[in-house]
Amino acid sequence: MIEERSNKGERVPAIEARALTRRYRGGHGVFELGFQVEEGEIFGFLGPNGAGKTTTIRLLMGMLRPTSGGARIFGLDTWTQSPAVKARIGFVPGDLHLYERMTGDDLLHFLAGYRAHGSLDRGRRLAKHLDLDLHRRVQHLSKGNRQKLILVQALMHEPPLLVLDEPTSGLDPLVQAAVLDLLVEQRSRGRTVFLSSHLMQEVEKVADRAAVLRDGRLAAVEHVDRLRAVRERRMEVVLDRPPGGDAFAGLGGVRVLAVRDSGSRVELAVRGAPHELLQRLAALPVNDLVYPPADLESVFLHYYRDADPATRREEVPA
Amino acid sequence: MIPMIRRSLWDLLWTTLAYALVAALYATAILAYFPYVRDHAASFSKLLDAYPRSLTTVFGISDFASFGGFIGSEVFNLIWPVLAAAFAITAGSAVVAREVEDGTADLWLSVPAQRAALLGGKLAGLGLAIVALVAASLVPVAAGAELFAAHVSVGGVLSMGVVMAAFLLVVAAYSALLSAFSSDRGRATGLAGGLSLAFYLAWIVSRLNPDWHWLGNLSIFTAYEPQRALETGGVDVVHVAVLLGITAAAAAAALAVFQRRDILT
Repeated sequence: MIEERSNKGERVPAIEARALTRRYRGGHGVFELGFQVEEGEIFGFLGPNGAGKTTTIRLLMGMLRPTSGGARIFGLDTWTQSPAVKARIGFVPGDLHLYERMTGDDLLHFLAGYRAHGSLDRGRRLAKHLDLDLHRRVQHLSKGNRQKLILVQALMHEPPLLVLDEPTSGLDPLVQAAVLDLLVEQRSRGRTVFLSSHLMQEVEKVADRAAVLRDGRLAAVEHVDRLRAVRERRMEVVLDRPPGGDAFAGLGGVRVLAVRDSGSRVELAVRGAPHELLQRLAALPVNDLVYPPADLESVFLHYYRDADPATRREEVPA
Repeated sequence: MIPMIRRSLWDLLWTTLAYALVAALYATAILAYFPYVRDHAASFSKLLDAYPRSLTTVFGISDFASFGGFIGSEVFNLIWPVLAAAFAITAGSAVVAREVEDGTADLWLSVPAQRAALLGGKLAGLGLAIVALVAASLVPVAAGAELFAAHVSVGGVLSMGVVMAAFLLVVAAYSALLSAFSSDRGRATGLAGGLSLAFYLAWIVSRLNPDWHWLGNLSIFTAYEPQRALETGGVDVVHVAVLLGITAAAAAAALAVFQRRDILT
């Protein structure tokens, strides 16, 4: 574990947001965000497009000044102590905009000029490990290779915290899996990862805890196991012939949403692990089964059913 | 700051080379006619006397008979500042706005350095590029003076360079200030170009109409006297100090604005 301590020797959280607010004209922005990210965890930051994930990251990276509230990274204010904060961060921006005329090596060379000695060599080794050709110009790199390059620059100075804004967006599944594996490896080396994503299954796969953001406000900050338990996944079952009327009755966490084609096509909502349901299905003439990954809406449905979102905030110790 | 200066120079390399080449070739081509014009000085003087005063003022034409008057009238009093100002405006307007517009600002600002230091590095690189452009423009002047046995001193050429560099630094500095405010390179370029044109028009009006003479005090073109520097071998210290003072003020304002502004892409 890479531990950062305050001047008094107290262990400080990797990230701490207190009533963090950034208001844009037109009423958009993020409002009263309060959460902590502990060292050594992968913290998912979930939300649909436009929820405020990138705004939050820009606030953490000192690119935006908070309207009110604030955030600290390893105890340092993200706005007033921005250079010191950035020295501890490896950052992957949401949009893959790089200096097109540079080669990968030029880019690493430039960025390593601001990092500790040895960063460039580590970056080159990492690029070799990822099978990334640093001698090609950025403009000639595929999206996957651009993503590798930006990950290399984020990792080359061995930062204790990685801030990643949708790092797998638009990548093919193989590269996506490689990126997620890399994050898990970083956690195993004691690093903290702040992973912004709009994909529930991605966060479920690697994160320890996650914050769920909607319309600029926190819907929840939970352990991923808990999110997995509360969200509902849709399942569509196609049967050779209609089962009896009570085929899915008595199953905990399973609701029948719709029955079509005279009962041979059933749409279910499944909460939690589907063990019992699978046992029940094994006894039925199942012809096809569609079980897509959980989406964010299913989590929102749970958290917004009976709560005022404006009042949701993780308890941050005084 | 060194990595940023290095990158800035790398970014400006080809643009600077292109402008320097055009400036040097144009000055060389014009100078090739100097012996003919010198040999027919009387005819050209008569022709010049026939021009309306407004025309000679607008185009910065003084005399054709002397080396300084010829090169000043034909190159450095109007054509060169227009060409070089275009370089300073485009490069200056790009320092921040281009990073924002291209979406590279996120990466640029992810390094552990004060924003002012990052922009300072870029401005220093731009300053060096301007010095290189001025130096390249002066090569034909120095060579031509030697070739045509003109009575021009080394000090005169260097003084001319100081005036030209000071003028371009001002243009680059206020362009950079507008860039620091804006996230739109086109807007920053347009405003900087408009401001430069306003300075030029103010200078013209002040020269044509004595009642509007005071307007010249508001124009940077009043302090831009390369021909005089070449001919006298010295600079007007007050004029150069004013240009450098405005440069320093505009650059400091650009750094302050950029240090505090939000970066929205």
